[in-house]
Amino acid sequence: MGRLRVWVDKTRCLATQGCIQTAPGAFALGADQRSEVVDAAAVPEEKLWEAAQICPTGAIVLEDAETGERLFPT
Amino acid sequence: MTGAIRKVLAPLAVRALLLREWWQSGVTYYPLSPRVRRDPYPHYARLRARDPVHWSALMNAWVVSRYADVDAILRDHRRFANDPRKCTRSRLLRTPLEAGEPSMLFLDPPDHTRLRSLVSKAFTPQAIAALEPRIRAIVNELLDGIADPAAFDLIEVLAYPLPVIVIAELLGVPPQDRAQFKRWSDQRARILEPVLTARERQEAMQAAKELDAYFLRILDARRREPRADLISALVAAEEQGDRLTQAELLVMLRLLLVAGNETTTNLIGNGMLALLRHPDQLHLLRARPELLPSAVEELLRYDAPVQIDARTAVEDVDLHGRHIAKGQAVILLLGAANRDPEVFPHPDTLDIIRQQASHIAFGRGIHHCLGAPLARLEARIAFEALLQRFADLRLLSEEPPWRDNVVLRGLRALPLRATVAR
Ligand code: HEM
Repeated sequence: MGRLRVWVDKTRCLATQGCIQTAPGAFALGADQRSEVVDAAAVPEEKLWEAAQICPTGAIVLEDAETGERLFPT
Repeated sequence: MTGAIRKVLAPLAVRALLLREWWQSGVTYYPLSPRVRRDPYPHYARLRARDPVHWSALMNAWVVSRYADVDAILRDHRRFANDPRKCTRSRLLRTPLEAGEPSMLFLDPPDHTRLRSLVSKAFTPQAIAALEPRIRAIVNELLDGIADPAAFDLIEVLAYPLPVIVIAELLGVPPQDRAQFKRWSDQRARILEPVLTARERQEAMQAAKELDAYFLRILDARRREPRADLISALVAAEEQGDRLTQAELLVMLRLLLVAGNETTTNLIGNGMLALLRHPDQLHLLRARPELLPSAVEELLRYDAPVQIDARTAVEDVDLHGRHIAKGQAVILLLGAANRDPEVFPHPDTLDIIRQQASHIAFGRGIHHCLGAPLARLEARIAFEALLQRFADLRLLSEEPPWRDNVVLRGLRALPLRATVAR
């Protein structure tokens, strides 16, 4: 498997900020009060998975950076 | 003042306040009137249209009713706090404190962050999805208990017992203690209401004491012999020392017990009532059960189980020409935001295939309902089982009785007549 690509679906983000607590440095709250990716490389990959899983609305999308295949949420 | 004089004067004082409110802004907020309790939505529509940031002299708080404003305030935990101790200029929000140490629901970061992270993993959508078979079994067992399908109360047989059984199992509380557990939960839930009697307050305090004593015994047992339940997981966190004190642990258990009971009961009750009052929607759902998840969202929007949320401004904020001062309470009308025509076209129409923006029934921001995946799952399975089991469902009373609540909107009873499917 290739590297992980991560992005936030802003239409779903409720700003519960679970991702920011789980993977600080990778996510931050934008001026629009929605989470965004600032530096995915700031944390180990398993933290990105954890952040995605903790999100109540599945707003954090994980994809395979090479194939573009969606890994989470499925 | 003697009781008799107070009985005469109190309503007059309320009227005077309301009259002034109406004079100042052309609209009043009076959630205690029986008419508003039955149907608050026309009342909300007036507030949204005429005075979206309304000063309620009666509540001693700002009342915010538009979706965009409620959404923005809930996301903005830096300027709008949950901790009622920051509420220095309104009496309203102080009540929860009287029960001792505040739970994370009434705390701000960093305490809120630390406490919530201890339980968030147990409530992720995936973790909760694993409970589906067990919840289905409980629902079926409860429905098997209906003595006479021609006349039964859905609240009593299903909506009321279901959530308490589920949360008791999740926490790891012995099943034989459920009835007692539920009684405590009901008594504790009263403190969320803005108005409660001296006796209710007394009972809520007593229930807190009894719950603590009860949980302490279970904690002891789990310390000696951990199990695969949430209480054992929290005990482990407590034992790690700096992450959770015993007092915090007890308050957390009380919160987890209470937060999901009356709320989920109301989702099932209010939701079923809404479907029965819209036979076309009920029919559609029967024909297309894959719509159940989207129907649950619409039912949450249409008649939210939690009508009101509250915050305290921790700095001065200007909104729609009103000046919210530091220390003042802000009441957020979730039920009004969920019917905002700016966001939901034809907001008063129940439409289970609506695709618009998400409702605010579970709140927003860092306090967004921890139990949302669990409540959604319980409601979906409950509706699914009811529709499968009963070919025909009807209201036995066109106007089932509402509870005397302002915050937790729900029915006292929902008498139904059902025909069993062959
Ligand atoms: C339909 C059912 C439910 C509704 C409508 C509901 C609604 C809400 C709302 C609006 C909040 C936000 C309060 C705020 O912003 O201050 C909240 C918080 C909370 N809910 Fe629920 N809830 C429901 C079911 C549950 C269930 C089943 C649980 C299970 C344990 C639960 C546990 C909690 C907890 C622990 C919080 C506090 C979260 C925090 O402060 O971070 N709820 N709920």
